[in-house]
Amino acid sequence: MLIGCFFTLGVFLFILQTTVFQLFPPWLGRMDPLFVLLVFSAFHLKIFPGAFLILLFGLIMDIFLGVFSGLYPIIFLTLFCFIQWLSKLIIINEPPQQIFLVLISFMFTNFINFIFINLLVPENPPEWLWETILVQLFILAVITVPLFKIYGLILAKLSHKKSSRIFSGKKKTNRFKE
Amino acid sequence: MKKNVKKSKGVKFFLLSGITLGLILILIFIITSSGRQKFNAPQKAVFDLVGRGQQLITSVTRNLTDVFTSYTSLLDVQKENKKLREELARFKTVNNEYLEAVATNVRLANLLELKESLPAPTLTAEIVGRDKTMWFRTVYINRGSSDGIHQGMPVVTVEGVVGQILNVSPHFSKVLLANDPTSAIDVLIQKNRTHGIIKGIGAEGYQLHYILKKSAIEKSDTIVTSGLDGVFPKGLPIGTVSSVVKNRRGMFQKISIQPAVDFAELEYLIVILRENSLVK
Repeated sequence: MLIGCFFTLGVFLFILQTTVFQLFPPWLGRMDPLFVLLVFSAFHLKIFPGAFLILLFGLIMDIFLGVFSGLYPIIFLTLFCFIQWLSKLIIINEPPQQIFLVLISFMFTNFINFIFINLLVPENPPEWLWETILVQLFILAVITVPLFKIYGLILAKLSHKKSSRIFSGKKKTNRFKE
Repeated sequence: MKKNVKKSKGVKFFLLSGITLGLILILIFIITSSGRQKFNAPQKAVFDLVGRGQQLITSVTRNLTDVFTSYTSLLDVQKENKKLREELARFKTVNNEYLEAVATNVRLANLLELKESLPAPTLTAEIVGRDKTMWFRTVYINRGSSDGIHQGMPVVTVEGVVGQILNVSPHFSKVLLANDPTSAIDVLIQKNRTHGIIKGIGAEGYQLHYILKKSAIEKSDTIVTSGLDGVFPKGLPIGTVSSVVKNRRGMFQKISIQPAVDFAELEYLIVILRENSLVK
């Protein structure tokens, strides 16, 4: 149920990102709520359900994005392992840590992507576009906290946990990762 | 008890890391040994299903945009109408000259007893989605194998070359744009018929490779397809030369090409239904 709902939400976000969001001017950058969902799932779900969900997203991306079959499941699984490793170091679940987690995961994913494309197309290596990446990082930093709250609310509803006073304005007593 | 849970988590993490590493090695082996692959049945089904969602969202967005554009364009429609009438009159004259030139061409071709070759049929398709990453340049169109589209078919607009079909499902296809870093097209410099290969470099367009330093090429020279790659028909516009750099070292020039099409503004594409494509 949980995996199914997150998967459906992810596919819906993917459709939005490949259609409506493409109409935004490039200087405005393009939001990537799906990436935030990926990081959220990898950070909050248990190892095997989380890995399964990430793998499913990877398989969907693999059909639509890029040129090489099998690239995205691998990149996403690697990202999942990276976030699992990071989550051992980040035990506090507060906005600054969430933003740090999403931004470092974004850099990691692009770095892995860059390495793979360099390996697979050595005759025409891609360019590392700092300008685009910095704009993306800025947008991710802005949208991470509200999206983490929304996804957290969905997760709480689906896993029948007590809703975590997300929109009440009051701070949670437990600041650590549950 | 707590120690056991921690140990079990550690084992799971190492197991997952091991599986991922194994998959990476398998992926590298598969890709380097087999190249680009066709979609299998589940992939086609997912591509179709998500493609329908994209088509729905795109048509809703486009309709809303059209309503807004129609309203704003009404504001200065009279001025535009006058301008268009003037343009129409000018183009009628140009068209007459063009028809005359075609007639002359046909007459001369008959005189030279050239073999008549009919152009390949074409199909118009609408873009329903775009690649959201910064690493690849692909778009999705609302035509697929049920419309006669196959992998490797050339995709163009009236302005010039757009790319080629990469994957197909029954009702949708993925198009690899010519400015993708994995794309390469055999081309000619129109004025002196020198051969070269253009490779995509993303938003900046293309880079023209393998043009010797002795070859005369200047800014604004037109680049067209050579037809030798077995994908694109000969003579389609690719773009114009935007810069030429001759380094002291090396045999070749470094040439940048400004694409003939604006990849950011693409909406409708033309697929040339060419059989016997060499691309597999």
